[in-house]
Amino acid sequence: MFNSYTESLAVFFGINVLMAFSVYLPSSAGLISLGQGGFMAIGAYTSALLTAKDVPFALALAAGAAVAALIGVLVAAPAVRIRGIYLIIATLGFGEIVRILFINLEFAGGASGLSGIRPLTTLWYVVGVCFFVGLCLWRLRTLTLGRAILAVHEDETAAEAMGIKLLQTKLIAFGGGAAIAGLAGGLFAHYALFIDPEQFGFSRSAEAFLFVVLGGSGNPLGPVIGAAVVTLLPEVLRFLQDWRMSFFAVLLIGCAIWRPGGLVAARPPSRL
Amino acid sequence: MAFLTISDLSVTFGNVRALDKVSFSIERNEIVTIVGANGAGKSTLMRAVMGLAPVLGGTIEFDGRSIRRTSTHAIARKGIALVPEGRGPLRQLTVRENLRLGAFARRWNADARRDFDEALDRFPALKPRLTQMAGTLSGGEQQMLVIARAMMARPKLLLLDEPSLGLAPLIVARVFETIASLRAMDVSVVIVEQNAHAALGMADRAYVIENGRIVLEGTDLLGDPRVQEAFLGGIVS
Repeated sequence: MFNSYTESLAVFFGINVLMAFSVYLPSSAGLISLGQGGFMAIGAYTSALLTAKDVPFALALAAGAAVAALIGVLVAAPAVRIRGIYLIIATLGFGEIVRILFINLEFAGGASGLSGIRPLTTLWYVVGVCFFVGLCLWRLRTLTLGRAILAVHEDETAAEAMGIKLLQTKLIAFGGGAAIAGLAGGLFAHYALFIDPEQFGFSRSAEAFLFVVLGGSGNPLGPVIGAAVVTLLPEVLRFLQDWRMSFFAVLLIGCAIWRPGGLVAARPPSRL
Repeated sequence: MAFLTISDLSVTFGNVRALDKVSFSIERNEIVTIVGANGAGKSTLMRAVMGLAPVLGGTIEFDGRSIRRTSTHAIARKGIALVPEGRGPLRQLTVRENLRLGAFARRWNADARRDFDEALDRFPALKPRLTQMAGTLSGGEQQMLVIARAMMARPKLLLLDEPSLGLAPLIVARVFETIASLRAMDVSVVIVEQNAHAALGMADRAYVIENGRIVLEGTDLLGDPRVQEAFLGGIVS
């Protein structure tokens, strides 16, 4: 139904949407991460090593997400006590640590990477996971937990005075984001069929961050639009040839000027 | 033993002593006002009760148990609700979401739903605005919402920090009427105010705080010449 070019574009778009969600969830609690590439790597390597041992794909994906979430919580426990720019620096450092760690892990292929991963990711798998995660995030606000996350973002003191446990709420948001990045990594590994640590470096993290900044962090639609623009626009702009990325940069600056809140500014309806 | 007892409470921020051996108490179902000038330590006292200020010494006992080292969210769950000064509601959330969050520590059961309906009866202005972002409400409505939100936790002790701040006189009167109506709800209320006249008028008892010290305490401070001189512009009411 699709040629392989459109299919691969759609798959990578879906994976990017997941990466955008992985930044979006912690950001709703006020936690900005520039290290989501690290969690993606953890999910990718974990699931790839598991499917190599004939573990079912779904189980391997879930395991990748779980390991990423666990490490996310461990990293976040000390890190969420710091705020704003310092948290960003800490997550950035984490991403680099993960990259260097995998370069030095012999059983994971080291710097030369892991190849021969089985092609288990299908387009419909990606679409299904995207819809599932998107739906969860969309409905989050109708849950007490979702409102607590928003409250923590807006006013920590007021949130705490209402009985909300700050640390626990932040860890859930951050761990959830890490799990989503881990899922994205697992799907990526079984489509790209070759992974090496450089694929999950700073540019991957920054890109995921860009999706949310560009699309808007008010509701889950923003990250989707952001991912769509960043993934698909460079393809559409191919006719500009060498000027493609320059034009893209100008477009981003334009967005920063005219739509500082992101392309999608509205919040989701809340029915209780 | 009173419901909330604070003795010899001292709080310092760096070199600044915000509270100096303050002792204070409130009984069940009592309304107590604390008046004082800007920077006298009123808000600090509230924040200290809530576990939000660095306490240097002294004791805070609520319902017979020390809460000095209890964390803020645990204090909230014990039944103390704080309406912080001038913060307003969570602006990016709807009125309904704000009220639901007020009941965060409770189970959302028939009981809580009844409280939700009662809150809307008590604050009818909020009813048509349930799905509106709280930030779009007027100042008076926001203050009503914050009080309603605090009451959703069914607190046994309500701490109101400057409920009249930045509101028009007519609205202030409405806010105070509402606070007075809480008497029927089995809750003790501490009101911190610069607007001494209105606050003293409705209180059972009052304290005057100056430079981090309680300088006066009584049941009829409105008639006290020193209070009239300092806070009411010398006008005999």
